[in-house]
Amino acid sequence: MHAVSHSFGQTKVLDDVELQVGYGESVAIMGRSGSGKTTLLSCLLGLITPQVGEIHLGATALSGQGRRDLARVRSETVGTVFQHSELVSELTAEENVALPALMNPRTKAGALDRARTLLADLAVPTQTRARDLSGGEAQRTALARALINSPSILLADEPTGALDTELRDRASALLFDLARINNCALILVTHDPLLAGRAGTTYHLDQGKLRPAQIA
Amino acid sequence: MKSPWALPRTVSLLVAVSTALVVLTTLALGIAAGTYAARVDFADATAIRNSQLFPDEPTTVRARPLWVSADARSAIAIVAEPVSPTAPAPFGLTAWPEPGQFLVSPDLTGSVEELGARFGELAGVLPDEALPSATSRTLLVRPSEPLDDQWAAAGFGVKGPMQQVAIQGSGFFLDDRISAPAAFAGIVLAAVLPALVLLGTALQLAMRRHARLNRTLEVLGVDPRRLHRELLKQVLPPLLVGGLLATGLVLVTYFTDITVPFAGFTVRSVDVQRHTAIYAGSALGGLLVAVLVAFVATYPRRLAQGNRPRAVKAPRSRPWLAVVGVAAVLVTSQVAVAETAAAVAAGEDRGAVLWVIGGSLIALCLMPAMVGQLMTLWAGGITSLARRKGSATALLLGRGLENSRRAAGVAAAGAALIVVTGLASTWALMGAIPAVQAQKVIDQIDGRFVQITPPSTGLVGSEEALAALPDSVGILTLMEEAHQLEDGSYDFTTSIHGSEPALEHWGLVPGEETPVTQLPGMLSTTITSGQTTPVAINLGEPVPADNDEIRLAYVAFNVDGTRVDRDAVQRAVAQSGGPGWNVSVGGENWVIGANDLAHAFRWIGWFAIAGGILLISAVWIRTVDDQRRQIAKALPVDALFSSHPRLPAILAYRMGVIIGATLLLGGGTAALFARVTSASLSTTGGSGPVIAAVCVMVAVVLGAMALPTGFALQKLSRDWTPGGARD
Repeated sequence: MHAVSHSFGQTKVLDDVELQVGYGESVAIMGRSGSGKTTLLSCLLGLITPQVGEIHLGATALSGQGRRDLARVRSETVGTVFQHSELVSELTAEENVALPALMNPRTKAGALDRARTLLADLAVPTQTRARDLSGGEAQRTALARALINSPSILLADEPTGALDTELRDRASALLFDLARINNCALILVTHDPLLAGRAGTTYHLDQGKLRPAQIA
Repeated sequence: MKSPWALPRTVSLLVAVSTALVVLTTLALGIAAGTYAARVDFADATAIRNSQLFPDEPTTVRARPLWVSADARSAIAIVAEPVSPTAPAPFGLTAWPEPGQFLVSPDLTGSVEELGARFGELAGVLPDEALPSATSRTLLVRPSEPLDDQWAAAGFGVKGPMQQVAIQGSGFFLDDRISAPAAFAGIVLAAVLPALVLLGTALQLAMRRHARLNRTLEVLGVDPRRLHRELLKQVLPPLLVGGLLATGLVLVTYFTDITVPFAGFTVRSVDVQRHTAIYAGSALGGLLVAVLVAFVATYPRRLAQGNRPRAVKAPRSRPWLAVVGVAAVLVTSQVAVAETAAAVAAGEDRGAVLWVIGGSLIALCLMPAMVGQLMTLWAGGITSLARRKGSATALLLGRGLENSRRAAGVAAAGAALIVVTGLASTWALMGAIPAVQAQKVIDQIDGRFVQITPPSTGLVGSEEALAALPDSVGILTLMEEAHQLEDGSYDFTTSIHGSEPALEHWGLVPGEETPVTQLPGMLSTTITSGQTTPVAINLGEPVPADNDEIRLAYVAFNVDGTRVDRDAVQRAVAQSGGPGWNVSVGGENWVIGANDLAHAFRWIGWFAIAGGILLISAVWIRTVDDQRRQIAKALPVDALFSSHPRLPAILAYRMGVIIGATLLLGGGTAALFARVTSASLSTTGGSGPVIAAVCVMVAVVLGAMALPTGFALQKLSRDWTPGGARD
């Protein structure tokens, strides 16, 4: 992310932001509510085109890419974990994990097998419908879904925000372990200092500026 | 694996039904086009023996079409005779009728006595399949005496008049009173578009269920085209089922006649067989349009280029558009009313209807902006009141309305429904305005005289025809002479001629000149052409020069002042002078014209009702969806924090605001335009009652939403647990 600036009306949300994360590295971005963390993440996902600056995911520049190309880049490069897991309640855990892979001809083959393996590693019952999963199981399922296409970049928006302390610790450990094992660049947005403390580097976003932060 | 995009059965049913309606409404276009084609074919078939167009073909027929009245509506009589014994009989008949006999189309069988006075003896009914439609009003007359060469043409007449013959008689929303483009535009506006709105609403409902899933999957890298394919896969089966079922109706009409309910019109299998391509093409075209709409509607919406705070304002927040809309409605409705009043006063035909249609269309286009602005203002008022009074119910209500596109959508759709229905009824009733003037004239004439019009100019045959009248009937002769002016236009002068007793009967003094408007006993209504010069009163019969510009007409009256028996006079002059002699009551033509118009315009009412039902269904679906979302949002607050249930009150007030906006803007706009058919102008009491009825219907339907909402609320209240509500 190079010299990225973005405003909503008169409000400058990102101001000349520079961010570089290598494979196998982890970065946590903290900040007050409304400080622009989600906007930064949306820029990285190509959901928002910043008014100024450039974003590269691996070798791919996001600027100028069409809607379909952006989706392809996300599919091949990025795994995303949402705060509220965003599972399809009618599908089983296994089907939820496999769904993004099943919808891409390149990743379709063996998608259900890979989903089963991932869920087994994360100790989630594969045949339970999403609506019957506990909060921790649902979040682990979402994590497995983020990994189904073997991404090189893992983006997480408050991935443990909806979990209790014990589950939060287990989920965060899992997130960092999986990122390390898969040699992913991990970028996570969080309010949680404990979660941020696990990251190699922590930044603080305030008034559009991204600055290195010290976690107490 | 069960598809996460699977549609609930009710939504699938809704898609199937709305698709079927799209196909059926486009089939209506096909029926109109088919009827039109049938008339053109009819015209071509009858004109083919025209010696002027085909001079090399031997002439077999002499004929002349006549515009006649039957049961206070118009009809076309084709007076024809063969010129050789081998001449084939027209209209699919196996033999010519005998001289002095006539045949009628099925629609005229109730007027045989009236027509018999002029044309002789009924020989039978014209075969249905030979006519352009089942409701054609056509006669074939074989005169008792050979036709005069000057009067009748060789063949069935030139193609132009025969086209008129063919078009005569009401078809499917097509008539000589409604042009083909206007009919097609009317069907599209009143039926096809509402059906598409309903289909769009059904598809929107289907897509909204998956909006969040689609967003999530696209963020996870799924190609939007792939998502589109999945969505189409779910929508296409019910869409095709509905479409093919409706298209199958064409197959049914191919073999069986189907009567359109409440319209007095039959879609005949013979027409479908003759124009299969038109009927099948329109149905398949409708199916194609439905598929295209589904293709566009199911494409996943682009991911928002925004976050908190919103980068752009909601599109409905455009106050200047609302102001333009209100100004346009006020100005165009006022001009329409002024034009109509001027037209009625002057007895002219002016373009008020264009102002009504144009103004209504502008109102329809700007209705979302007007409704949005009104609801924004109301919501702001409710919110500010709630904050001042500390009312939680009003606060939830106001804030819920402030950002609700759905609530504005419901009100805009309801208001559009009222405007469309109001427009249709106003347009239809404007046709009744001339009838008011005509009725006034007829009331004043009171049958004290009839006008006799000879078939040709000059005095040819007059003596013989009038001699057949009994002695109790007096005659005045009106002679109208045209003078060409220097600028090329014509001026007309009329003189009245009569015996001394006849002139005395009317209080006319020989040798004097009288202004047209001061002629006694509504005689002025028989003097046409807008003459302004005084009428000369002359004693004795007119002796016109041999000049084609001179026209004669006769006024017949009973010397004892009693009513004239119109049929008896008609029978007498027709028997002695031939079927070309016409007897009419002054002003009668206006009534016939108004009746023809009203008959043709019955389709406007029919389509207004059909379109209204489609639109109200769309409003219903949107309302249920809006209420469901509102429940999902407000229920947790209500369940957790409220000392007493506030949700029912919030929903009731919300519906009240929506109904209020609907009635204020929809009813207000329709009422402004409906003033052109107010009670002072129309015998029907204007379109005000129609609009009032529609307003009540819309309010009742929207209000009735409380019922399903109440059931849904009960169930949700029972089932609700924290974390259960997601949206």
